[in-house]
Amino acid sequence: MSQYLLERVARRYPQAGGAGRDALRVPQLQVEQGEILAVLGPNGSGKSTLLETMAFLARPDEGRLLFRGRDPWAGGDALQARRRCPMLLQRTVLFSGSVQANASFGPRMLGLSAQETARRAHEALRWVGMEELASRRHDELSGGEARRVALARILALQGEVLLLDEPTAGLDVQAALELEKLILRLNRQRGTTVILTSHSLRQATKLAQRIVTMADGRLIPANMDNRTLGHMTRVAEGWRFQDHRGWQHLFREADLARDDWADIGPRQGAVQVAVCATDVLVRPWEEGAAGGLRGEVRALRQVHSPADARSEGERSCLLRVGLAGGPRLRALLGEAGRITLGTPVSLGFRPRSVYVLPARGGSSPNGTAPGAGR
Amino acid sequence: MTTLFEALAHALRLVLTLDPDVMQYAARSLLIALAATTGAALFAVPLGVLLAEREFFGRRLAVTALNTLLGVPTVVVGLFVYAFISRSGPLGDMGLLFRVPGIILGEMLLILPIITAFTLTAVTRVDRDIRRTALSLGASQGQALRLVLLESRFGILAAVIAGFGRVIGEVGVATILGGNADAFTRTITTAIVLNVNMGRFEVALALGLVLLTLSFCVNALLHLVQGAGRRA
Repeated sequence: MSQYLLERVARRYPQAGGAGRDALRVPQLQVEQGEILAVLGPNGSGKSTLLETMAFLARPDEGRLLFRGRDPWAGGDALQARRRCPMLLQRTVLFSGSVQANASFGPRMLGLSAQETARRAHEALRWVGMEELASRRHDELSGGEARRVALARILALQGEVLLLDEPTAGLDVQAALELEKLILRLNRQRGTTVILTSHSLRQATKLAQRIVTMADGRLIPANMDNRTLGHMTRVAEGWRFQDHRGWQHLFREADLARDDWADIGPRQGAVQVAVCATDVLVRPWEEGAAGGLRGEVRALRQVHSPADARSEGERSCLLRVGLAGGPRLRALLGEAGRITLGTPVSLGFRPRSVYVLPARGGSSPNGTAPGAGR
Repeated sequence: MTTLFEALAHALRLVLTLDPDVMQYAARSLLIALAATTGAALFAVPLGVLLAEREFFGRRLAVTALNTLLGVPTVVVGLFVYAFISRSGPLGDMGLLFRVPGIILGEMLLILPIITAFTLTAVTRVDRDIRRTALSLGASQGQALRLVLLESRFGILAAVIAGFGRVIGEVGVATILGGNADAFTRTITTAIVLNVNMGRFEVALALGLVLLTLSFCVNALLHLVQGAGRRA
């Protein structure tokens, strides 16, 4: 039986006068027991929303969320389910009191005896190497120590699932590596199912058996085909960074740590590069103007009439732009304006809308031309 | 300067000799402030928590109204309550006017918005992350609320202190609803106004110093409680 099964799960931002914009849309996601799953994606892509939903902190507006084959929201036992899958929130908030008191919080909520609570708190603090500091006050800890206490707090619940929202955010390299080791150890020794979000491909590939990516609140399955991607994303496949140094400046400001780039290089071979179509900035090419990549509009299509546009952020014009010697990218614009078929254009990206993930089906043959997609 | 020193000496004399009038006014002021603060807090704290915790229709309007009421002049509150408890008012039969319970009622209404608004702020500031964290750690909604209240207890205490401070130094409501009748409804503040009007400046100043000391003692006590709580 799988640990989780999400079917057509959606959550919307609340909006006055009816249904709001999608915050999350997951066609299907299955997580097996004992698996480590990493969710990659840029800021604001819906990773935390997905984890909150899986932690039963918020009820999906649509769809079905099965936990060990049962639907806790429908069955009225969401609290029991929540207690089995504690979540490490992105922002560390310790309760006032000692480290020990913090680590005891979960077991106390479960109504366990004082003895069992103390035992679990102690064990959890030992896992994260904080048992020496058990009597420290919550406001006498460094950021890294506080993060470890927060982790101990969820470990003390001894849930069968751990949901970790950017577990190493704000930690130094050493502390992050230790935490990664700890996650692997927990998974191996306790068989804990781990679902974590990350910006780091390095971290995701190191820890997870499976990686899924998100963009604009949508889950993009690992074995993505272009149809699933809809009009939101264009994925360039089979890129090798060492082969295409000329392209690197596209991503040099991307919201990925420097060491990610080292890992993506020759050692790991081909990667896929995904860019949110809504985040591709297009303007007519101007000779001598600085920045941007030169491309040419190959196709232009109205995807829905401006009248359908529900909010200001809605884009309605889909462009397919071919870059000189490179891949074709899809861009969604509010309106085409001066841009028509064949117009030379300049392309740019918001750094945080670019993300890199392993190539599907292993490495591509050497010398693969970039942009094997549509 | 001489006046100030004379007043200080006079104040000391009044306090050390346990001047019956001063003791009477001080005791009455303290009684009114404590009773009104306790009474108002019993309503205002739950109301503030409710406004912070629950999303309901008209909540924003309620918060705006609350913020407006923060600045209402004390004499207006006094007049409003007067209209209710005077002989011809709807609560006239209760005989509250020109009696201590009448003043307490007026002061309660005066500080109700203050304590509510400060409680709302205190709970909201703590709430967002603490609550989510508690829920993510398996707390039920009730357990999470308890934790939020526990974490915001110092803010709530500060709200109550602010209410007390407002009442102890208040003169408008006490004059209108109390009538400043010696031996019945005179408080330190109304006595100060009376003495200034009578030209007995030293006595007024002396009473002012007594009031200041009284207020300081109560606040120091509450802060001591707060400090002890924080260290625990």
